Amino acid sequence: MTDPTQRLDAAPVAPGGLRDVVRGVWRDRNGRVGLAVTGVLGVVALAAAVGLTPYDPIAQNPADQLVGPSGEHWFGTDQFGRDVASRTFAGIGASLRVAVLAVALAAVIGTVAGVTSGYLGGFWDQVVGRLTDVLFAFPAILLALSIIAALGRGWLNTAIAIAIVYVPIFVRVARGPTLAVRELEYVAACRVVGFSGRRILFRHVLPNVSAPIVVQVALALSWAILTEAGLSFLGLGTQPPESSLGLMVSDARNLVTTAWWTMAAPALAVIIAVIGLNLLGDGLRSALDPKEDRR
Amino acid sequence: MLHNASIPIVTIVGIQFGYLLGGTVIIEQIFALPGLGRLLLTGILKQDYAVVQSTVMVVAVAFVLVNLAVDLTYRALDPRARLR
Repeated sequence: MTDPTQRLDAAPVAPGGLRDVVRGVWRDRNGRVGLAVTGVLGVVALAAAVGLTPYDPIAQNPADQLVGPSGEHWFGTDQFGRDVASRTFAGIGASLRVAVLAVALAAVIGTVAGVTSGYLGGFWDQVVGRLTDVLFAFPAILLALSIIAALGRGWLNTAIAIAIVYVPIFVRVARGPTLAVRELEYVAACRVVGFSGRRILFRHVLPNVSAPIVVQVALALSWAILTEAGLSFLGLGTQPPESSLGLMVSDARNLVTTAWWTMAAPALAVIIAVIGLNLLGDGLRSALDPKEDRR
Repeated sequence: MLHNASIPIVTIVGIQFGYLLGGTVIIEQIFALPGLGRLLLTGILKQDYAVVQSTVMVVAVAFVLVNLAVDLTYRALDPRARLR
């Protein structure tokens, strides 16, 4: 005899595995560009993290100050003779490190809080709802700034600040569909069979509300990169001499008329990263939600 | 026509206003404008928490008031929104 609970576990329509999702994104034209750009950035970031850059990103070389782009220095050098291309690659690594950590934290905390508050309702729903309302009362960048003011500067605190800003958004994105899924028959069936609340939540409700959360992760990553660049630009994020895209733009501000390449490389990197992740978000949306396919 | 079409515009105005309030910190730093954002930033950099608290408070209240104005505009534009 087969255990009837096993068949029930397989009943809900879970989104396909990772391979199906990637294939769906690849079929979408925007998604393909986004996936490719994000993949390249990820490879660059990983390579920079293990030290694979053309030059040492923080090594100063007084003999080669403000040299223009050439075969030797792809994006020239800055006022200390540091290779701009290497610093940009390391900066992409630093920005992605902050963005990925922040979004991972926000997605896990926000999703758990949102799904549980939507499913359980009652007092817990009230508590989560009021807390998200409080966080939504502050403009996003301002909230991040004030959290950094309380925690102190540095890339880790920047990641925590961005995570806190994004938690309420994930709560909303997870809670809405949970309210709808909670009422469906297969969830009622699970309850009748006597599954534990945790099993219903994580094996039956969560997979069926995951599509908008996955899309939100891509969009949150692009916003996190922008915010990290903004905070580093203000001198609150990644600290010198480590390189970060925002920090490089800030350093290049006074040089932009004499040495445009010091500004162009990090600015282009931010733009490409944000556009790539937004396109990936579009692709994920059309891959995971067939209803929104036609525009 | 304009009446109904203006509902999403009001939404965007509300969202953009919050975005711009946060953006002032960066814009004022770029163009060296002596404003609320710069006050906040110097407060953070010099660890002057009283200044940080009060600036954040002022901006957050402004943001909440704009959102309230947006919600009230909804009500004026679309009487059905009254049900809530």
